[in-house]
Amino acid sequence: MPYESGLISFAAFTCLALAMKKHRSGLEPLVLPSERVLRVLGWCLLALSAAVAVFRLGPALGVTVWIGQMCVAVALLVLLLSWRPKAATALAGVGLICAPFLAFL
Amino acid sequence: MNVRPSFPAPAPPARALRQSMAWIHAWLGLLAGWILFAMFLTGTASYFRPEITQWMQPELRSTSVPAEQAAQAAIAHMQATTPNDQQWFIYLPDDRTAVTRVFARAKPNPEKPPARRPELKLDPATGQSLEARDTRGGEHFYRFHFQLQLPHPWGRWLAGVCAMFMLAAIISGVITHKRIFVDFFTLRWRKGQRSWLDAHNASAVLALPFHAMITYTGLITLVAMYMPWPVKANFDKPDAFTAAAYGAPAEAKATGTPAPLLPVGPMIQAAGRAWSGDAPRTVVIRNPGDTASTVTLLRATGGRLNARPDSITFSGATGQELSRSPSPGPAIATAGVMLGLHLGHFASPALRWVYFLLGLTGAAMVGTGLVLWVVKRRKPNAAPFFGLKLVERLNIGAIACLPSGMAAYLLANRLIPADLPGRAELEVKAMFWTWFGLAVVSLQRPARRAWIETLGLATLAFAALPVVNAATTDRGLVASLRTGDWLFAGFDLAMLAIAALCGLAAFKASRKPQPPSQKTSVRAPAAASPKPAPAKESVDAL
Amino acid sequence: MNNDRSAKQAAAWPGVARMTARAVTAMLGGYAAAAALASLLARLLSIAPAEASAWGMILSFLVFAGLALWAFHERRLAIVAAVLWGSALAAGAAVVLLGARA
Repeated sequence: MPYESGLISFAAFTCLALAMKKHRSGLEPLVLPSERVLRVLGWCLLALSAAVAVFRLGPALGVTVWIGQMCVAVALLVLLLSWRPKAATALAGVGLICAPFLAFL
Repeated sequence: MNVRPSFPAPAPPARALRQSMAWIHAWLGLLAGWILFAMFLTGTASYFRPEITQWMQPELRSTSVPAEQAAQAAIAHMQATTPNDQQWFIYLPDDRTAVTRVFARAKPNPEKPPARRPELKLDPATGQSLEARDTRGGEHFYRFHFQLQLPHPWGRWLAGVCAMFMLAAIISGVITHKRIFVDFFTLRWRKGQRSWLDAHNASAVLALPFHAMITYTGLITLVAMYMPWPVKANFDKPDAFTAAAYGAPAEAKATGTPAPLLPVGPMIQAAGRAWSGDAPRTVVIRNPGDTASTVTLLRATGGRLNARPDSITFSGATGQELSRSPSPGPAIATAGVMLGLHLGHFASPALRWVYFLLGLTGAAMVGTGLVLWVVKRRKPNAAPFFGLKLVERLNIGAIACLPSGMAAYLLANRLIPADLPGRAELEVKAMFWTWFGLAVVSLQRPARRAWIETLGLATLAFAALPVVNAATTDRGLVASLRTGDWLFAGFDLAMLAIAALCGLAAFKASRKPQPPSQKTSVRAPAAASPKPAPAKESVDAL
Repeated sequence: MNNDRSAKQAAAWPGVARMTARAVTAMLGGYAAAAALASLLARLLSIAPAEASAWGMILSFLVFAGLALWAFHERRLAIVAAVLWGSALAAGAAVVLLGARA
């Protein structure tokens, strides 16, 4: 299933969201890394998700697929974040773990 | 921002720009919103055009056949039925279409212009003519999304005007929205107007690349009609531009000397060698059975962004290659890629679902914008003015009633007898009578009840589809899951998902709306606005 | 800066008529200007004619959108009309005078 790029960008945007003060509350048992770390991690993951898509599908189709999956991922993230922020965070972690396995499916 | 045709008071340049853009953004969205919503929804459905067509002809089952065999079988059928035609068009099946489609154009006859022949469906393997229920299939949603069921060319012009409004609305919306990054992840529920603004912003901003792309490329699909002037500046005739841009296939007048048409298999193989293994999608044969006959193969575009197919033309009598399309220059290639990005034919099933979801965000963006217009202007203790009532009713008619109409089109396909004459037109009528009829009937109900009831009806209609499918065909959900018929299973499951979505919307509409209040204690952390003042400003910005 | 003038004009010419003129200028004038400018670009670009025409067509909608939005931003209707109709006429005339490519 060629969705690993979307899963990585989901995690990337989760990091970027949690790097913002107004999205950091309500996750109490969870200890979040500092805003700075999350921001850097988020951008790195976003770059990774692009690289994965381009590596897999070539530049033209890769960038198209990356942007498409990124848009869906961030839209789903915002829906989930507004409703169950903890679940969104957990899903980002699970997705990130699953992504390398999906890449080989 | 005001409804009256007057500008806001003068302000410093940056704020003045934002204000004028907010003003025009609201007008653009209001005037084109209802049609744009319908274009987005039916256009989104069109990403599954071949699948919808297959679902609407359950008598036909797809068989996988090599292109050479399908083409030769179709040619044999044409030679047996209409050997003396001027031109044969053969549309080969692929992994998304079950049948070969053929269309023949007769020789021009000055005395009696020949009647336009209908398109025929053939069995890919045998070339036998196939009988299935008459239906427009997915083609109907596709055609509607840019022709709007209006006479040619008015539908296309209206769709073009709406697309242009959409483009201007996107640009003005981005300029208006000054908190794009601060509010990037913000979506607050149950806060009245602010929730609608959040939802409008989120659906617009998060899928902005898609919205901008689909709007601009939509205009490009019909650019030859909307903007022919740059061509006229350089070429006397549009045909000359077409020939210069895409190459003109070699064609010669029929000599009148008969010569047998060579088998197309070797030609398809030769084309495959030139096209890194790709098969042709379309075979066009001119003057079959003549020494001057030509066979033009158009390359399947699957997997490549550029939707303009390469073509190779062979002599039908000698099998020699006569011409092939030139490799396009940067501008022609750009236009071809834009066309491809809009149509999405290149998309694998995984990407097609991404396209589908992004299309839904487009419909959500337009829909939430229209609702926001009403919510923003409704005063709690004042009777709504006429314009407000009108817009709200049109919102109900466009947003909540169209899904029922689309479901009715699909239901009609199963409920109208398969052999009834004129049934294809009846299916189309079912959609529009349901859509507009429901909109008229909903006028009898208070606005809030009308939202709930029309959305509830859409829920029932979509939920009924798998049931009716199972009752009227032998390809119901259980059977298709058991036999691994993923197209039919996926279709039924998608209908259930859409029903759930409509049901959720009806449920949300039935909840008592909360007035926006800073003091409301909400558990959701996203709702905890750290600074009330800018949040208020962002509401005013639109 | 132009408060007095626009206020005077608004009093002399009812707001609805002015707004109608502005909308017509934005849509028809904007289209005419975009079409003429895109045609001029297509005619002047010294690349293959088909390529030049295609660039003109591809860019025309962006020009149209920009001009139409600007028509609702600039407060002075006279300037809007002058720029849109003027550039349409000037670029259109240039295309006609230049004639076919040599």
